[in-house]
Amino acid sequence: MSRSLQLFDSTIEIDNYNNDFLILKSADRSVIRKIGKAIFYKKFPFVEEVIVTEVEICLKLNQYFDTSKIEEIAKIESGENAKVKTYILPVFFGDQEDWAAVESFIGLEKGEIIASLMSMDFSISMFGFLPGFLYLDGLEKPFHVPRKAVPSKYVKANSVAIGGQYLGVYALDSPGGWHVIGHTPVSVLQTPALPPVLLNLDDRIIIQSIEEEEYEVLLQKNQIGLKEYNA
Amino acid sequence: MPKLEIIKPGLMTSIQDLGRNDLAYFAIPKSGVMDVNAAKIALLLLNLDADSPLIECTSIGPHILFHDDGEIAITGADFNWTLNDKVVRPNVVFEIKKGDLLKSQVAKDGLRGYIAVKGKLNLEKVYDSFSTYTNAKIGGHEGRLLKKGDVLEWENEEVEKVNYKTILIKPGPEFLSLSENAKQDFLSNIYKIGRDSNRMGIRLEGAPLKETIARLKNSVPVLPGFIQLPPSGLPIIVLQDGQTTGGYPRIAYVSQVYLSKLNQIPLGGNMKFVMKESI
Repeated sequence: MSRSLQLFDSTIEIDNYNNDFLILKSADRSVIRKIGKAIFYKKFPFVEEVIVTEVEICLKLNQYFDTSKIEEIAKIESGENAKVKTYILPVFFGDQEDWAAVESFIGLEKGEIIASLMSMDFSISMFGFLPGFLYLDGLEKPFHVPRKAVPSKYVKANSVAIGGQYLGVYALDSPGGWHVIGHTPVSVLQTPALPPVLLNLDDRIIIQSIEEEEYEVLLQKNQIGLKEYNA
Repeated sequence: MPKLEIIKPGLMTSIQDLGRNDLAYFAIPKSGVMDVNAAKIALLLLNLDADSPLIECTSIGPHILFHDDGEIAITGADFNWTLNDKVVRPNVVFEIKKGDLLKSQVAKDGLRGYIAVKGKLNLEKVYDSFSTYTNAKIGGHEGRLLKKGDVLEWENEEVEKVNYKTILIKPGPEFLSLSENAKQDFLSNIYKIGRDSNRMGIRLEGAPLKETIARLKNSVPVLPGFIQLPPSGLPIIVLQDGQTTGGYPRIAYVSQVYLSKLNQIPLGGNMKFVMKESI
């Protein structure tokens, strides 16, 4: 069952999957973020989980949901936007094995690629995958190295990687299909704080290349947080 | 139909379910089990629907003779249950053979107990409930407490005689993008729970779907139970520790109540998807 709603001056398509979950879609990415955030903080009793990605919001429903509740979603108001902050993310670009594939796809050498990444303006476009994983928007088109055909079974925590249009940071050890190009000595994941990353959507990230020596020194500081590092 | 017979009724043994709803307006009481938790445990042990009837015992339990094979669960207070004079503990499922005699004594450490039978007891609902309300003589077995000689019949659920488990699924967001051939294969293949499966997800092994869907342009939300189709053509089922977003098409999702069944299939076990059309 599908219908559309006017929300925040945009048209939102809503698909209802058997009252099990709703998928909300809009071509307007900024509106999806705003609506997703507003729904999450509204704490509707009929919504069990809210997952916001760039183009879709998924609402897991419970027994309190019926189709009339969609009208309540239609009346939601946008909350205040948090101030956008800028953080520097130090990355040691080592000799990760994925570099060969990255260099060959982009057609530049490692040094040139690192210099380009440092000049790009990244922003947090969504939380997702696993706790602490950051999807960073702002990767220029020629750097969109496609994900691996067969995901690696193990990617080390705090790996920095390219996956299609995103630059990503793996906060936890996990399987992963992105090409790893470096590691950050700082930690973005700060459990059990809530949110587990002390960052907001849209916050800006600037990549700073660091040498191995500095990387090792920072590592000794026992997982210094991104905020502390920027303080 | 399989039968059981009440040899001794006990004190106040009756058929109950979770009771009647929304009828106090007409001065009809709720009725139903007195210990909802114990009753629900019995239903869950046998994977019975939440509105299934069970036998409630109070203070002095019944003696029951089984005329046929079956499966039962006993919960609540311990009535010193014995089966053919061998002690049985509450809160476990046990098999019953034709001619078995279940006996009980006085409840200890509690007052009420429940006996649930696997299958469907052959009773009629009154006001949308199986609960016995003796004052108005409605519900349960002839609207009264069970007595010596009463015979209850039940229908056995269809036992899965095949060597695979069936898992009920519903169409997911990208289901319609599957080709007809792929849909057919997906719903007729018998899959094996892959060795790489863990709390994050199940990797299925078997014949890969020949026609898959292109990877999605964006990462999209996924919930436990979502079935993703990677380019390999072998579906992945996201589980309890699963990621919250992913880029593979979400062709279907496992109905909530079937997730438990799915998660009990051992590595290497066989399963097959069954799809009921959406509402």
